[in-house]
Parts: sequence; structure tokens; C-alpha cells
Amino acid sequence: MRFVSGKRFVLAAISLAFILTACGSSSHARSGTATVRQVKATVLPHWYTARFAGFFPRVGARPTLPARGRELFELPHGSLYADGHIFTDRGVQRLTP
Amino acid sequence: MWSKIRAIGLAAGLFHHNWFGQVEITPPISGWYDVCSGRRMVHAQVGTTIHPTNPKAPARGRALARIDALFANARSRLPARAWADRTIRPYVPNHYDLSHDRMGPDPAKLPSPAREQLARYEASGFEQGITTDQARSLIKAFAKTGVKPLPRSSGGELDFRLPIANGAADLAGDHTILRVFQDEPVGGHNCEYPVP
Repeated sequence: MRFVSGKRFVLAAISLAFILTACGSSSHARSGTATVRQVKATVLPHWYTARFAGFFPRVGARPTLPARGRELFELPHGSLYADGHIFTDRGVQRLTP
Repeated sequence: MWSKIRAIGLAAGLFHHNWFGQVEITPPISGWYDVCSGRRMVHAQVGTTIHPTNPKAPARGRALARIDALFANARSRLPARAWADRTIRPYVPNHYDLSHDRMGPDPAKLPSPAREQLARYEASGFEQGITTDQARSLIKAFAKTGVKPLPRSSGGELDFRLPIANGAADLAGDHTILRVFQDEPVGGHNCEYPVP
């Protein structure tokens, strides 16, 4: 359980960063009419899409890690897998395996 | 980087076997360090107050602080050839997990379609894996019925306050917390995942 909590923190920070990026990247304000049209067109409330922007990947996205593998280390601020994936507070990157 | 981190730890007497220690260094460090040593995941837990009876180990604390610094600076210090892809991407889990507090939620007390979606899963005190599509459907059903995640929910975990069955209420009240979270592989004792 402890491991899950530690890494969950890192992943939470990653997801939060992407949510904030997504929320802050709007380049223009929608008109009132367009907003009303959009609200009517969707069944789900706005908070759903805003809140879960980083929680769920886009449909069909390939999982970051293979189903089976090896973890080389897990530290308070990140972890490294044998396939080269490195998780940090900023996101996921990949080293040469 | 793995071998360097291991080497720093081994030189300070860490990562030979599981170790719990108390450190007093500035800035203070506290946490778990799990390093695959050979074919075995070895843990080092440090804290300033959580294990006051354990011997103080300033040298080991300094080694762990060095490991922290090495990891924190890896992005800028590693040569270009060390990187297969420097692009920072969001984590994409291959599945999600469900868990709840001591008492399981009662689907019958939820409006449709949350009722039907939640009823598909067993009330279990243990984490149970669900597919990404299942997690999407469940959360979407919650959204449609106005069941919002608690404010404490984070990017990788969503918590929902749900009613429990009549007669199951205890001192903890008549609600429970259902957690839906992104699962991520954790190396088992032999460093491999999924853990057999």
C-alpha cells in the first residue's frame, strides 16, 4: 500500500500539471451563444470534462508501460523502469534502456 | 542512473537489506527508497520522528540526500545519448483500481445509471482492477447522476462519498469513500511487475 501511495503522489502531480496546462491553454473566449449551444449539446456537466482532463487518457491511447516489466527504483520523487521510462514530478520521459 | 544510485547507497551501507532509520539532516528528508539490488527490491525508510527508537544514521541520511539530488538533477545532467525521448508526457495507466473504506457502498441507494454501473463491482476491502473503459463508464455514470468527486481528489485519484446499506452504519457514519485511481506497476520482491 505504501508503494502505491508514494507513486500515486508523483502521478497525481503529473496529472495535475497536465490539467492545469489544459485549463490554461484556451486561446480565446467563446461567445455566449456558442457556450449555450455547447452546454445544450452535451449531457455531461462541464466539471466532468474539466476535472477529468488528466485523469483519463484519450481514447485508444497506448499505456505508458508494458503489462510486464521490471522496476529499478522508486524514490520519493520518482521512479525508473527497466524499459527506460522515468517518472518524475513533471511527467513521464524515457531513457535509453 | 540506477547503478549510480545503488553505488551511493551501498557505500553508505544501504540496500544490502531492508533498513529503517532516523536521520537528522538539513533539509530534513523523509520517505521510502526502494532500489532493485541484483534481483531483489531492497527498501530504506527514513524519517526524523516516525521511528524515534531507531539509531540515528547521519551518514546514511546524507547518502539518501545525495541520491535525491542526483535524481532531481538527472534531467539536466544526463547526456543527450542517455535519452530515448525527452518529451514530457502524461502517464497512461493500463488499468484503474477501485477501493473503498471499511464498509462498501450500496448501489441501490444511487440513482440510475450510477446504480447499474456500481452494481457491476463487488464491494471488497481490497483493491480491484478495472479496465480504463470500465472506469470511464463508472465515472461518467456518476457525473450524469450528479455524484461529484470530493475536493480532496487529486489528478491520479478520485474519491466519492457514497451511501452504505441500511443497517451497516456504524460509528463511522452512513457513508463510505469509494476511490477510483490510476494504477501503476510496482516492482515486487524480485523487482518485477505485475507481482505474481
